Amino acid sequence: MHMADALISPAVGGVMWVASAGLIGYCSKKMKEEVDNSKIPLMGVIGAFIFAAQMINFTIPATGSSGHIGGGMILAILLGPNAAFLTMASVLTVQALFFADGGLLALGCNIFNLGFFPCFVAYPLIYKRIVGNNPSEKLIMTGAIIAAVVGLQLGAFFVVLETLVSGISSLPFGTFVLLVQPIHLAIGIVEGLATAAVVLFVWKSRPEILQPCVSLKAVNGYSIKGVLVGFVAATLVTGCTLSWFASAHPDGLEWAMFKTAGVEELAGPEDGVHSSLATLQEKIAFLPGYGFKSGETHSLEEEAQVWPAIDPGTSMSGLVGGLLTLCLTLLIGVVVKHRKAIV
Amino acid sequence: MSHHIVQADNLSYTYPDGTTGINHISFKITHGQSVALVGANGAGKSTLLLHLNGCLIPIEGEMKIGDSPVNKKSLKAVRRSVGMVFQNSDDQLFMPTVFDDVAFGPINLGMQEAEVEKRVRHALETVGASHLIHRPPYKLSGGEKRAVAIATVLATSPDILVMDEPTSNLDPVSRRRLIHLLNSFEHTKIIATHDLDMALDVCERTIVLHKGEITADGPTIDLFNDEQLLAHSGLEKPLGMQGVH
Amino acid sequence: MRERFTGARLFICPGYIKDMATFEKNLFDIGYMDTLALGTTGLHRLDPRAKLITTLIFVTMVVSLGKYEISMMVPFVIYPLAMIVSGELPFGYLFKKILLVAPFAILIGIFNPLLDRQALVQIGSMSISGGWISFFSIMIRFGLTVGAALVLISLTGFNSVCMGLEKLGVPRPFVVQLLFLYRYLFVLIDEASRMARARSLRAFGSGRMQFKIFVPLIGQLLLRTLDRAQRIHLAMCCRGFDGYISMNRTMKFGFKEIRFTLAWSLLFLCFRSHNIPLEMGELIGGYLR
Repeated sequence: MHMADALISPAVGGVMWVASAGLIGYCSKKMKEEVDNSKIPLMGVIGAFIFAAQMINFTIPATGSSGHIGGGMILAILLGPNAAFLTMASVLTVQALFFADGGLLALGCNIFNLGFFPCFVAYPLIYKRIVGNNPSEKLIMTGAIIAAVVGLQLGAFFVVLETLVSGISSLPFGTFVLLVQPIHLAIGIVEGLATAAVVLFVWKSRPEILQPCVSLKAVNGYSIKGVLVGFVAATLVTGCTLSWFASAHPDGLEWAMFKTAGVEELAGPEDGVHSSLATLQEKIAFLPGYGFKSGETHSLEEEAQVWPAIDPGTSMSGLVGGLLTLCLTLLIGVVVKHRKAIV
Repeated sequence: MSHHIVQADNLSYTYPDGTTGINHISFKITHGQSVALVGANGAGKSTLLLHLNGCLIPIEGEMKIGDSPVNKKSLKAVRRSVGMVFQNSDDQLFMPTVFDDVAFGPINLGMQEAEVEKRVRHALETVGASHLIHRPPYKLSGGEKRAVAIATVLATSPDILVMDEPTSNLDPVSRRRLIHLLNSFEHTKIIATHDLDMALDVCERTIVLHKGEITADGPTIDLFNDEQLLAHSGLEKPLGMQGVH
Repeated sequence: MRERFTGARLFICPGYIKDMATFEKNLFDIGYMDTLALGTTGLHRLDPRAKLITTLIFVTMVVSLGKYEISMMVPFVIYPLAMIVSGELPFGYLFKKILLVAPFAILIGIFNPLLDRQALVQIGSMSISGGWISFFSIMIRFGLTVGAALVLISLTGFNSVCMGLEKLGVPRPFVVQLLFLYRYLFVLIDEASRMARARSLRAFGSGRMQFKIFVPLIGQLLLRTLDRAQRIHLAMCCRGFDGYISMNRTMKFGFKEIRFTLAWSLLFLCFRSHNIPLEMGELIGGYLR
């Protein structure tokens, strides 16, 4: 899922730009140090391959829909994380410029969501751990599918976070998560299956191609520590900027979770459209903020008086969002550290 | 001018998967000679070509360009004197514009900007492609691509031109133009091809390869008259000679 | 020609022709935008960096507007419009391209009217909810930002944008990667479409791509791609490649570029800080009274 310019605030776009730019800089530096310069044309051509391959869809039986291979995971398996991240970033840049997938400001978000998670989280922490140094059909299959699913789930979760923090969309957090994650679970499984099958095909006909990335040498060859330090730093910057942003522009961070509390009573003229919309709303709002009903009259009054409404819940929600991001970062940090200790 | 000599001594190469590429090949090509390398598919033509500028290093025997054997140490000098035109022009034209592509070699040789520019213009003029200079390669026709691919090699002014199937995928007019162009070069030329008519027009000498070994080496016209040899090597008399009874 | 072919067949033919149509359309799209970049207007000749920076400032300004501030977004339309007119770009084509990607923005935006139903604007007896306003603001923002990106490419060309990026300090390996990707996009889309065509011609009308056919097809394409990368690397090495790709482009950020960037940026700032439509409305309203 591509993030679009229209849905993000400059602060979120800017912070994600900085994070992605930092990662691009890091990977570029790593690539410069690489002795084997045959990767330079290889990355470019494989990037073009991802583009072309994603135009070919297969039919998913009995659903009427279709799927294609995922980008990040197959790149990481073939190229290793640094080169894969750069390649993914370039694919997304071309998509943003020519096909208007996403946009210029959202490019940072997209590179991060679709590049960082598969290349630097799902690939090293899941695929490599499952496949290890003795690849077999079963291991590659399981590893690729699970890694693709996890990578996409993390990416989708970030899409939700970025959208909510930007405050352009009114979707409540719970609804948004419940809307996005299951869809991406399905997409992830389909993409993972396709990715795994293609990787297996290559592995069966030319096993030596996958060798450099599976061998022990490659494992020691790159350090995830540097990337992780960068990521933690980026998230800290994000957190700080966001809390600053939250205090400076309270309504920019309105979390609709708190807003929905007062919506029911404020509904416009009771015409046919609106009432049918309301039923629809009830259907999609799996986790509407009804738990906060105690404060509803209060907020109702406030909102009616001054607009834009300065919601008491806003600063609270900003805090929650910031903490959530930090927790996620720390979690990844702990997992990686744990993994480091084992290797 | 001794560095224009190409000499193979008992050259052998086996691919990592065990297939034999070439087997005990020896020949000597002198300055200014134009040699066709013919043989059926899989005869070892491409493998041999890749030895000429060190893309493959022989497992057994020796490849000599001028006085120095081709090895890791001499690679840079060898590649400067041997220009290689690949079969698929899309593989050879990898830069964003024709100018960048032709300039790629000269820049890597460390030439100054003015000199690079001069060489690019001259090379494109030679192949009659000056008007394409700012075009991106994907917008060129097959014939234009081949011409530019040759220009990319000419720009580094090599002494020896090595070509893999230069006339493949060309329309008759482009092919004829290419033959004229090749005949105008004074370089030593080594051309691997299935186009025996072109070989007849461009090369005075032909080496016939069969299953990785040389089965004949001599004047083109003589070899192409030897129907038994051609049939044995999976070849056919060129069309231009078939009409003569 | 090509466009007519794809457009006409899109609806009447079985699935495989539709596949082909998408391929050709994509190739055509990219190629066409590069052709537009070959124009000779003053805007085309401007240093790519000037256009890049201006576009970024434009996008940031537009996006920084609050979600209910539709009226302030309107003046921004002038930038893409001015570029299209003085750059002699085809308006209809670019507009269609924007519409093509609109569904995603609609998908996300459409929830706003459902969830945010507080009445914001009263026109006569009709009240418009905040949700509808923010929905339209999403759509306008979407049109403006996507339009700006398309205009940038159509006026500059992808290669020049990349060269500009490099001069602005984007790491070289990334720029080289972008250029390679772009160069081989055409080759690979062509190759993929040939393979897909070969399949569909032997599928005899059943347009479905089964998974068990899909995998070897993509797998083959990938193997061919890897072989191609190897051949390209050989071709590079033959011409003295040692890991560094040099591209000389003399770019001049002169008076014209400074004027362009400054003038537009100031205008954007002005649009951002003053609600011009509102002020104008008040002015006219006051005059009438």
